[in-house]
Amino acid sequence: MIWYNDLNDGIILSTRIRLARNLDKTPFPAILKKDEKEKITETLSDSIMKSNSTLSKDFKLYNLNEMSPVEKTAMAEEHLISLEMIKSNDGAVLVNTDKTMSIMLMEEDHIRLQIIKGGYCLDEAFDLADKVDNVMEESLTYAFDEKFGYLTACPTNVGTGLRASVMMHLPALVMTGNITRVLQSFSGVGIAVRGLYGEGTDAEGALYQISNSVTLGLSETEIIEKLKTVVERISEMEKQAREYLMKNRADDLKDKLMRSYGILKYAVKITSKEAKNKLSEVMLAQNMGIIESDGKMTPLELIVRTAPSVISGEESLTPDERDKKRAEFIKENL
Amino acid sequence: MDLFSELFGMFDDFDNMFTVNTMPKETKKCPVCGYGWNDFNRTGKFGCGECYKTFKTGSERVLRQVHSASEHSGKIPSKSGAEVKAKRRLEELRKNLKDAVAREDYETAAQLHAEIKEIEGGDIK
Repeated sequence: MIWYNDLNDGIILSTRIRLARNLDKTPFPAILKKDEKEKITETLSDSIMKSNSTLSKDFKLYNLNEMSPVEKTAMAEEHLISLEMIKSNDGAVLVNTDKTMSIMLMEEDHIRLQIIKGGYCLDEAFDLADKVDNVMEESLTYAFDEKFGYLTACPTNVGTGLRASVMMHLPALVMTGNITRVLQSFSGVGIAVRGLYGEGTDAEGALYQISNSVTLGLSETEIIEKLKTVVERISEMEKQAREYLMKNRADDLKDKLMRSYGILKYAVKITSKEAKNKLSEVMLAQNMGIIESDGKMTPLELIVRTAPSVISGEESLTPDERDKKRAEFIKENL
Repeated sequence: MDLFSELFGMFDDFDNMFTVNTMPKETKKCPVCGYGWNDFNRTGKFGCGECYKTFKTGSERVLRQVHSASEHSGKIPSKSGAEVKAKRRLEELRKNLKDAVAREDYETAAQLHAEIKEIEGGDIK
């Protein structure tokens, strides 16, 4: 299931596994010429599309030079391509039917293979990534070194090339002012915390991505087990913060969340930032049973679908028109 | 990347060491992509996989800084890593043998010993 449709327990929302791979004896994309990139992109996509595996029928190839900026941005907001790829006209991305797998070609590395799923399923997602990786390797020779592992453009990915991450919704830790302290306590253990759209983005809507920062020296299983320990401890703390709010400040909490729901249901115009934060509060309210979840879409899906470029679609809307369209869309689907 | 440019500034002393120990840094270029250590310092990225081997001492130091480790212990690709796989297997068996001896489980130790002998004596694949 696509990552924003299954909210799991309302705290650990989705799971992502990314593997970085490169071809042996081949310069990385940053220093390849356009024609070289085209040639390599073809070889790489053939490793899936022309393989005997059933994967070949499940994937569709999108060449970046044939896509409009809006289409690319929409894909980035669904986390199928990186923000960097929006600006690029070289390379391609392979996406499977249910949008849980994407293989970016010619990003920072030749291959960025990604599994993204709703719920908390690190082992399952890793197994799948591992299998796709094996299919690709049947026709490709990877840049690999006995000592350094899989070789990548940036030394932060070398070794396993694995970035395992989990998206968490932590509104109660934010409201009780505990979030900074909680996240800081994990800063020295090879774990990184980022906002919804990855590196350098804000954690708007109390959405956080928790991932491993160390990729070398630990096995894939060890990396995933370590991440699980941290994620489960943070989840426990969020649960405690929710219980505390319900026990000691129930009326204030309900008032705050219901007001957010009211604004989303009646606003005529709403900015992306306000929508994100209010939808995050409704997500909490639904999860705690304060508001029924009877809308057409989950609040998380609405966050994704009302991001500036997604709400605009192919139309060129002014920010004001966008805010109006967003408010209407939310009203109808929440 | 900004974070990195700071980090790589820490290796200025290393550049000098490199010059003394091997050859002048400006002439040492990666045979596959043509990158020099300066390019890495400038961008924070390597030009190709071969760079890691070309600038071995440098990359080891960077990796220790970033990951507090410089040895891979994860997945090995089947094609480019067949030999490495066999080596890892031997290491694992030797470790198990040591553990078995330590806990005086001689039956397991004997089995492991036989297995190691077989791999070492036979064609490593």
